[in-house]
Amino acid sequence: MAEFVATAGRIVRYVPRQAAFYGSGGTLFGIYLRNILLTLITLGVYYFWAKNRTRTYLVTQCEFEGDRFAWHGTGKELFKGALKLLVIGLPIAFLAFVVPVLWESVFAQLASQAVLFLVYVLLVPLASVASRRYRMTRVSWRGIRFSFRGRARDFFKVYVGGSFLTTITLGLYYPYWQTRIRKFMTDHSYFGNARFGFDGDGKALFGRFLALVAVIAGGLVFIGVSFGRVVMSAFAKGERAPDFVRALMGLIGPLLVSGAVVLVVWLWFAAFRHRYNWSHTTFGTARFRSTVTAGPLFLLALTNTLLTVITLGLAIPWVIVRNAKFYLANVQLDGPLDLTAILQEAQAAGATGESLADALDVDFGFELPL
Amino acid sequence: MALSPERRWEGWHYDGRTSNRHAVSIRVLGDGLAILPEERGALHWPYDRIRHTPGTHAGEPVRFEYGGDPPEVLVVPDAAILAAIHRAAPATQRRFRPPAKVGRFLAGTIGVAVALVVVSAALYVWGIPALAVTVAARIPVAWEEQLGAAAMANLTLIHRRCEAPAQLAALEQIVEALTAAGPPSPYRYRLTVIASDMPNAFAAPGGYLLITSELLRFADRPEEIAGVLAHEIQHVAHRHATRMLVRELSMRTLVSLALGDLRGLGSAIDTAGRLGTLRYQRADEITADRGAIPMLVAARIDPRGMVTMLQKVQAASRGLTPPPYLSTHPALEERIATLEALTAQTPVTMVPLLPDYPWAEMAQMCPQAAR
Repeated sequence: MAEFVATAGRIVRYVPRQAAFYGSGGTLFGIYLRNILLTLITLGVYYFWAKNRTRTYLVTQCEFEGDRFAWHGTGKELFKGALKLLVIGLPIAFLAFVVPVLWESVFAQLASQAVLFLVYVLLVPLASVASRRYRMTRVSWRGIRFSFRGRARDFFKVYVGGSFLTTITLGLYYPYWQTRIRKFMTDHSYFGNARFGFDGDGKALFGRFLALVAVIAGGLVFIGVSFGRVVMSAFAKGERAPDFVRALMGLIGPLLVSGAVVLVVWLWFAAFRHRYNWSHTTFGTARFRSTVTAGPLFLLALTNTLLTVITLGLAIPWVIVRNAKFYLANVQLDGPLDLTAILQEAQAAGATGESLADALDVDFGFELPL
Repeated sequence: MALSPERRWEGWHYDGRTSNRHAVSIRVLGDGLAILPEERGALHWPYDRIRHTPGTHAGEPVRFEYGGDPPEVLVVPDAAILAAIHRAAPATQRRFRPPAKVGRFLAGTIGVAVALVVVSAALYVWGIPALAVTVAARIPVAWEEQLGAAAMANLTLIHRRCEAPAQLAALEQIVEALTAAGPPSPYRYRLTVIASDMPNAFAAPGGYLLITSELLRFADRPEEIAGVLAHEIQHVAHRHATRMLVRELSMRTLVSLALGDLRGLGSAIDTAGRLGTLRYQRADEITADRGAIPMLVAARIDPRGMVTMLQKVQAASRGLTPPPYLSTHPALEERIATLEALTAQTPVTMVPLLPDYPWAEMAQMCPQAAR
């Protein structure tokens, strides 16, 4: 699907530029197993090195246009970051979790609720920004570092404002909120001195999001009504238990069908959102593109679920690798781009924010650099 | 198979300042790498200033960094260059590790899996219980009391307390008789009776004892309840519930860390509130039984009440799901047999417990208990 792109009458290069993932499930499984063993032996201390080891593997297996990414984070810095975090984290955890258990007073309960609320309002946006800053600065490609230069206070407005609007619109604002978060995260991301950009506003997602919500609501109503009718008729006729059970069994078919419909529509939305997000992501004069569509995504989700269930979770490393391969094989960068003009502009960032995000279970994705 | 020292390795050089890449050919020398960019002058990188960054897995290209801030980078697709460097400069063995062969990595994984099973089993059976004993022994009694109070608050949220004063006073008299005869204890024992249709008893850390109305209904004489209370007091005195909490907490923390999923930590922290759902270890039950007999004897209470009480509960629970307090290992039959053997050796010159109290009233303590 190569084509020529010309700027000012001059052919700059073939497009598209392609991403790829080379990892193997077996190797990742081996890494996980070694990590678990060492973490147990060290009574948990190895956790930070384990995390870094997995990350190193996943990042270095990613390739873009023939060059692999490199990961520069260390377990040691994660460990130190976590130690620093303990200084403020322990009193917070104590107030939030231990105080209400040990003291029954209303004051203790209120204090704990207040702490939890503040954590979610203040620390979650802070952690999101700090962790993205950490992750971006630790990735390089062709020897040039990525960076993230967004400020927590700006993200705070996006995050808290959107959260508020989503609540008062009963969730209708959700696709706009998520898009604004993505825009903030992308707009402040850099490769060397070149900036990424995001020019979507979420409007195109809204109609499909409504359709998804309608289908989910319809499915719930359908299930509720069918169940209600079975129960009502059982009451009206004074049916015996076996008849009632038989009528309930008759609902299993429609239930599975409506579940499948919801899943298909969900994946259709997810695939569209994925394409939407990438097609609105720019880098310099070039633009990304994703070719993820609902059909292959459905097959992937189905086979991954089967793999995980049949192996009782042992296949998770293979599932991770299958996902990474699928998504990266579908990402391309289109358009003219002068890579020689991009200069190194490394930024410093500590690892404490990463630990904070870890502790709060904040994850805005981006485990992989793209 | 000695490679010709003249062999040239294909690779890519990145200068660390721009995102350009330059095709280069590399020669492995005795003191370093000679890099020959096509359009510029040759570079010479001494080995001691080269860093070999991961990849260390089969099939990955070799990546070298040189200098600092920002470093120059050299990528060589053929990992055999590492072996060539070892041959040219044997002292670099530790700096440049060739990736493990796929087969060796897999074999290593099998070894790791076996070791993992062994280590998990050792931690579960020995390590964590040992840790729990050590830690629980160092927890101040005041903390235990607060933990116990929290656990009781949780339990009495679900179940109604039975407050009948006459019956409570009689039961407290039994606790008093038991503790007064024993050695001095740092714990102040507090007894709660809850309305429940399960014959059950429970000890929370710090001296909180709890029995259910149904258990009272099972008891035909005070000695039978004294046996149950003596057993629970032993759990408190040996800090079994505190150990159980430490064990559960450290187990969950370790599993969360090992699986890299910290979400488990939050639920580990509120384990304290769910103390009632945890179970004692087999050894704890045996210890409590063995400690209860001398305690009863010292208080001159007939210890055979303990045996008959267990027998009644066993008869009632036959064919049903046994209640938690009794379903814990060791099996009831085993406990009854052990207790029978222990009580058989004790002299029977016991003083009747609560001779003036109309014990039949006890069954009426929670008249409207859920049945």
